[in-house]
Amino acid sequence: MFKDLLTTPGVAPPWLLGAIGKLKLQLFGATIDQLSGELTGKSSAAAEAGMPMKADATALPLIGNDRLITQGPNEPTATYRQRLRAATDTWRTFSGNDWGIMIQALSQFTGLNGATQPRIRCVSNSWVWNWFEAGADLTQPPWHAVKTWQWDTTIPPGSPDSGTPAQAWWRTWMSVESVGATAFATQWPTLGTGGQPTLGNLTTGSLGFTNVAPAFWNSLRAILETFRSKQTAIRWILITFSQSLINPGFGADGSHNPAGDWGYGYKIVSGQYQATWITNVLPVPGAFGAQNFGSPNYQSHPEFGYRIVQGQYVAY
Amino acid sequence: MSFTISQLFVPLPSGVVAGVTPTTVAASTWLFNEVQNGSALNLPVTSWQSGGVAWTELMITAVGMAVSDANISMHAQAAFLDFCATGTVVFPDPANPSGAPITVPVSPDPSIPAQNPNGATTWLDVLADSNYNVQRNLATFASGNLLFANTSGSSIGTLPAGTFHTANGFTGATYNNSASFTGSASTVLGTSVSSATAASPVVVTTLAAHGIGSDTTLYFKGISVLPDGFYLAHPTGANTLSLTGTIGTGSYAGTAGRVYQPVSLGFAADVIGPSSNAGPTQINTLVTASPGVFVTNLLAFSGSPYESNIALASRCRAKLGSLSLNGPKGAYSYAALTSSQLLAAQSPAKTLTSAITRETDSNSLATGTVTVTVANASGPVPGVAQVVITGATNASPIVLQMASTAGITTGMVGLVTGVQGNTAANGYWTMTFVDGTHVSLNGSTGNGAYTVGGQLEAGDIGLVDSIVQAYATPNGVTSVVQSAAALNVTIVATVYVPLAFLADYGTNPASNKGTVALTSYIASLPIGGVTGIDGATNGVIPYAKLIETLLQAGTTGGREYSMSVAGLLINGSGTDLSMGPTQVAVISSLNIAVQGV
Repeated sequence: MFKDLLTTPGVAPPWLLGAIGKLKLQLFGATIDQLSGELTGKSSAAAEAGMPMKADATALPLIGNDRLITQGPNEPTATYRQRLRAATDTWRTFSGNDWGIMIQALSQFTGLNGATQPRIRCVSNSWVWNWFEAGADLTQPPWHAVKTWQWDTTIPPGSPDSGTPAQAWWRTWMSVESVGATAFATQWPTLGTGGQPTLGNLTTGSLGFTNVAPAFWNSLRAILETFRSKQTAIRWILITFSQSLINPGFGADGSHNPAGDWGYGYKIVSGQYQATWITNVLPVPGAFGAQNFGSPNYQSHPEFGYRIVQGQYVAY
Repeated sequence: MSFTISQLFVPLPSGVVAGVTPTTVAASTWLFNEVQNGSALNLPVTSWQSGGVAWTELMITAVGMAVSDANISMHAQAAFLDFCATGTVVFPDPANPSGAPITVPVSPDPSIPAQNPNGATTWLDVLADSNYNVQRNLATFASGNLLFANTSGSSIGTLPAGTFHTANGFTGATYNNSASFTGSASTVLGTSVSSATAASPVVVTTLAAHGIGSDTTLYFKGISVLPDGFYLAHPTGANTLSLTGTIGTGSYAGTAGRVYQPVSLGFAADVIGPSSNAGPTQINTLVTASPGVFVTNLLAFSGSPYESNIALASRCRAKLGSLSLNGPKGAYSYAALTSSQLLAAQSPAKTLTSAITRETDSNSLATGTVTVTVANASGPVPGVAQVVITGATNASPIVLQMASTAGITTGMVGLVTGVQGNTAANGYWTMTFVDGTHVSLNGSTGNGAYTVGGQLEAGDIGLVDSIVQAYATPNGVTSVVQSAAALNVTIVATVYVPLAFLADYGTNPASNKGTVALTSYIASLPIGGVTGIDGATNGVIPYAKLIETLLQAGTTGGREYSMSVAGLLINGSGTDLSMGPTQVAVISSLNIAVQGV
């Protein structure tokens, strides 16, 4: 614009409209055009950088960092923009309750290894179940039931749960279902076998999982730690590979739901990991504010939730 | 036109070096862009005469564009908490003959005096206020009351506010009177001293009745069995006073000794912030010459620093948690760290001796209780929370009984609630420490026999707990505030600097740049220390960071000149110092020697 304007007769003096003079004016005009173009555009982009619906995609993680909303590993940008836009509402309405915790967790599981939105449940020691069916509209309240839940009538010795009343109302569990189209994880065919027979492949998977890296669980735990009510201990995240497991439709029968003896996660028998309960449920330590994560074994592999007691791996 | 964050945050340099016409123009500069424009117009830009008007005009324009670009970078960074708090922008500096650009923080941090000495409002203040309704915790002057004894026999003053100056005999920090006062001659109690025992404790007998009814700090002069000074006097009779904690020597005869009753006057530090903090009795020196006048402080003087940029950004995020009714972690953190502002807004306003600057919280898997651990800039926070009262005497003053009085000191203000039977005990009281299980409530009178109940919240911990209960704790949840425990730290080191910079770094171990920087660093260490250092499973005071801090302290004009640090020991060890999860580092001894080479 200025490039042409500056060389218009009447704007520029006649003595500057010779061949070189005109080109020189055009150069300065072009410079001003660049100023008003690039810098003005850049200035607008700077103003929009903090606005999730306007910002460049590269700005979204920074907005998320400020609003404490973390993008899922496979979450579409458009979805993430909407979650960032609603961040204040999310914090006000959903932080610290099951609904909000499940929304945050699903943002991480959905899309993981190509999975669609899985079924997710939260159940507390007060026997209160809340859950979303696979693919549910998360703007609608979760389903709700009061059904028996009995994780550990006997607290494992050496566990952080020692001294905890078996029915402590502040303990809660999350289960996420990995089946069919919602399969976000694959379990090792047999615990204690595979490329790394006891610990799994730490590059591509974590204990019990072939295709979910330890970093995923650490990231998920950090999100839950921020969003949980501070007094609530999300004791375990139970990954289920069957629709009938961790299910309020069944009782505390020991085959679908715990029957009071699930305090241990795994143990080693003859050099092999064995689940201490039914198959097709893999536990991942949750976010429960334990202060005694100081053992070297736990620190080295915090995604496991294990430590060695008398030569045996036991779960926290 | 879309710009990535990287493009927005990193402005293009001008490509101009002051006073130099470039023979080649560096790519990715504004000058380069202009030359490209010229080339596109078939102008022989690069062959224009060096130093000619055309080049000069191009260079001026390039600098102007680079300045605008840098401003855009600043505005873009100012939209995000972390970058607003710690980001920097490089501006061209055409006025600098060396051509070197200048680096400017997006938000000059008022907790770093060299960046923002007067606490000017920054972009971060604007962002925090506008987007989060969070306001920075401002620095305060260390303040409190001094006992003022005028033994000269004549009055001084009237002295307008700010005109009578005293000093901390240990640190040299100075203080001034907060209000106008007349320094009248102090009242002599009991006419004169007739005898004094060379015993432990010293017992002073006055000729006439001294008129003291309860433990009081008085000024004693001319009593040969002990040095002149302020002593806590416990009345044991109408004419006798037992001086707590004293050991008499020699003998006393005659009537030359005098007991003076001091007055209490408000004083505040001359310099804002915690550098003028003083422990009890440390403010004992007069700056304003006044023969026969003596001062002391019974209680500590504490000032708060400006909240740092990083802390303010963190508190903005914590504010999100406070929006919830369900008590997420951020709610507790925000309430504790904002407690000084929330208390000041109460009616009547309440004041912490020093703002809470550090917080950590935990929850018990066994009980579900949330414990909030806090520290201020000096370290541990005085006071107690939720102490169960087990008795309250029906007397004057009321004496409360509890399992332990640890954390309670004489002069502390406490809130008593829930006492049944002797309900006169309930309310706000200034307290006097009695023993390990009892405190008395100054000026109180019982109104019945204690039956049951009662809780005591006292000092800063009590006040912060009241805020956490009101603003963060959901119904049905138990939470409690406690002070971080002090981890006393001794640091010694020698810093080597070029001789030319010796004066800049300073050689006084009490005030050189290394000492100031380390003091500030330790005061900013989180409760429990820094985690994730050298594979440590718990928090530490990182050894390498202390060396880095000492070296970076030797900086002038943006350049670091310090050469090396030798013999650095933390508590006698040349390694990271482990910290417990609820410990806060407190410097007990800091000796930084500086040598020029």
